[in-house]
Amino acid sequence: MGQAHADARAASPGLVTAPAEPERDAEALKALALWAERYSPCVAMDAASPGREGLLIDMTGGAHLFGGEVALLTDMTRRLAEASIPARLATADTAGAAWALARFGRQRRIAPPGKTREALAPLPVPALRLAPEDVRLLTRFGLRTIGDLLALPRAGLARRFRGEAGLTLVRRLDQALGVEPEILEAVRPPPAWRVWRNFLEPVIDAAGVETVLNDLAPSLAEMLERDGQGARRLALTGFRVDGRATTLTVSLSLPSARAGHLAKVLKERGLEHLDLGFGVDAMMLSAEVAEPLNAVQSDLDRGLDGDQALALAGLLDRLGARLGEAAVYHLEGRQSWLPERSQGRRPAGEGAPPPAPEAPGLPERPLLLLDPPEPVTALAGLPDGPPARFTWRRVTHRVVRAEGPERLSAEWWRPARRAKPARTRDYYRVEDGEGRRYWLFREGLYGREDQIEQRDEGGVAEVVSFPPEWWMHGVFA
Amino acid sequence: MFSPAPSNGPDANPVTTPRAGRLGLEEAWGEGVTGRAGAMAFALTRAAQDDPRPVVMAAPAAWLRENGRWFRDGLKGLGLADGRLLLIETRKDGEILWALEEALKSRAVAGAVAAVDAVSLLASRRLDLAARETAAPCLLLRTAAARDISAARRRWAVRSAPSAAHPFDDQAPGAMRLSLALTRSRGEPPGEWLVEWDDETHRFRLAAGLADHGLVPRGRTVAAA
Repeated sequence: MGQAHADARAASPGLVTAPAEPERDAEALKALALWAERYSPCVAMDAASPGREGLLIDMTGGAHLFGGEVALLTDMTRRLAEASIPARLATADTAGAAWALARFGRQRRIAPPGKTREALAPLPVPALRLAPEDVRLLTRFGLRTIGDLLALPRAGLARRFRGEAGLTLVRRLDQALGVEPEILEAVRPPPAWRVWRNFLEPVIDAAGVETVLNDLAPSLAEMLERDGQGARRLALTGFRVDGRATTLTVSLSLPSARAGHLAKVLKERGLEHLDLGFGVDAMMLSAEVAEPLNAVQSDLDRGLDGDQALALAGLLDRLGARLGEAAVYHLEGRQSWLPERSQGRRPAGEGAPPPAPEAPGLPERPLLLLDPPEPVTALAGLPDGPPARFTWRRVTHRVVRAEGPERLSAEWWRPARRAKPARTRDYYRVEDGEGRRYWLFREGLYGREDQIEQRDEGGVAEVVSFPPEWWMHGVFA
Repeated sequence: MFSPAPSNGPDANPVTTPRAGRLGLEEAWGEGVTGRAGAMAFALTRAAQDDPRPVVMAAPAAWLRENGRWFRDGLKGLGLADGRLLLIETRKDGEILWALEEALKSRAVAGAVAAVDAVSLLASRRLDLAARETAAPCLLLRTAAARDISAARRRWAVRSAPSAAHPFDDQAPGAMRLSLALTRSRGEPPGEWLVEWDDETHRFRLAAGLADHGLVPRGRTVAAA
C-alpha cells in the first residue's frame, strides 16, 4: 500500500498490475450490497477507506432466521464462494468490531455477545479504522494492539495527540466497543412491508417468477391490509446466485392492497425484464411507498362512484406498467398564447387536471396541431390578406372561404433559440373547394418585420430582406 | 350469450342512433388529413355521448406525426374537457389493440377510439367481443391504404364537406360539415348522410341539403343529380 509503481516493479519484476478503477469498484460494491439485502433490509456500504471497501449488514435480531450466527456466516461464505466473490466475514456486537474482525481477525471471526473487548484486544491498531499517520504515531509509542490501547487511561489517550487525531482515536475505540452509537446509512431505505421466499432450486425463467409472484402477492396484500396501508410503489427483487440483485419496480395511481391487482400490474410491467442471469434463489416483494388506504369516496362532481374510480385507477396502472407512465396522459393548459406552447401533457397517473379557468372566447381551433408547423407556398390576393391558393404536401388547394387574421405576437421575452428572430403570426382559417379546412399562418408583417440585420465576419451590419413566410399549423375536420 | 343489436325501427338512422344501438366494433375511414380529423371528431363524439366517463383515444406516434397532435383548444370545442379525454400514445400497433381491449374490459371508460393501420381479423374480433360485452362504443380510425377484412359491424367513410355560409360573415367557413357514408353494415342498408356540427348541443345533426329542401324521409339524402 502506498508504494510507487516503479519501486514495486523494481522489487518484484514479475508483478502483474492493473490500473485502479474506483468507479467500477463502487458499482460492484453497490450491486453486492443490493444482493446482501437478502439477509437484512439494512445494508450499508463502507467505501470511506479505498482498498478496504466492505459491506456492513445490520443483523440485529435477525441471525436466528438463518439458524444462528455460525450458520449465517457459513451460508454467506458458501453463496459468495459459489459466485466466486472472495470475502472475509465477521459478526460482532458493533459495526466497528465486525469491521476489525473481518479484516484483521485470525481464526475466530464471531465475537459472542458481550465479549467484544476480548475479541478486539489481540488485533493490531489499524483495525480501529484510523488514518495511516495516526497508526504510525501509535506504533512509535509502542502501542501495537488494541489491547495496549485499552490498558491505558482513557482521559490521557485523547490528550497525547494533537488536534483531531486524539478525538478520532477515542471515538473509534468507543464505536468499536459500542459505547458510542454508530448509525449505518442503508443503500436503500428499508421497506416496511416486504415478503420473502427462498427456493431450493434457483428459478431461471419468467414463468417461474410468475408462480413465485402469485405466491408472494397475497402475503404482502394481507400485511398491508392489516396496517391499513396500500402500496403506491412496488418492487420485486430477485437475488441471483452470482451475487447480484435484480429489481422490477412499478408505480400505482391509487394505493392498493388487492393481491390480484398487485400481481397483475407487475406482470404487465413485464417479468421478462428481470435479469435472472443463472437463476435467482430468493425473491422479495416489497411496498417501497405506501399510503393510508382510505375508503374511496364518491366523486359526486364527475358522477363517478367509488367502484368507477377504482376501475379507472386499475386500468391506468395496467396501461402505465406496460406502455410506460408517460404514454398515457391528459392534456392540460399552459400559460401561453402560442398554440404549440399552450398545452402540456399530464401523466394520467397524477389524476385528471384541475378545471382550468375558461379562456375568453377564442376563435375556432383545429383538432389536430402540426408540431412543428410545415412550410406552405401560398399566394395571397393582397400582401396582408388571406391566401388565395396554397400548396401543402405537394397538393395545391384553392381557397373558397377564409376567416382572419387572428394576430398572435411573438413571445419576445423568451430567449430566441433560432438565429432568426421570432415574428408576429397572422392566423387564417381557410376552406378549400372540397370543404377541407386548414389553419394557416403568415409569419412576419410586411413593412415592419420583413428585414433583418445580419453581421458578417468583419462585424459590418447589413440589412437583408426576410420576407414573411407561410406555415401550415393545424387541421380542422 | 349476447343480446343482438336492438333492431331499430325502419326510420332509425345509424348516424344518430342512441348509445344502446351502437354495440360492437365500428370503423371510420378518413380520406386525407382533414378526413381523418373528421373521422376522429365523429368517433370521439360518438364514444363520449350520453356518458360522463372518460373516453380513451389511442394512436401510434407515427400517426400523430403525420396527421398532427391532439390539440386541446380544438378538442374542447367538441365538448371534451381536459379530464374527459384519456390519451394514449404508443410505438407499435399491437400495443394499441391491447390497450383498447384493456380499457373496454375495465368498464371505466365511456368508449374507446384508436387510430390503427393493420388489424388482424382475430384482433378485431376480440375487440368486437369486448365492446359488446361491456356495451361501450369502440371505433377504429383507419387509413385508406389498408382496406383489409376486419370484424367491424359498421364501416363509415368520412370526408369533409363544404360548409354552409357563416351566419355573420359571408367569407368565413361555417360550422364543420362531414359527409358520412355507411359502406358496410350488418343488417342495415348502406346510406350517405351530410352532418353538421352543432356548437350548442355538442353533437352532429343532419344538415339540410344545398337546396335546403329539408330532410329526406327516413333520414337518407337522395344523391343529387
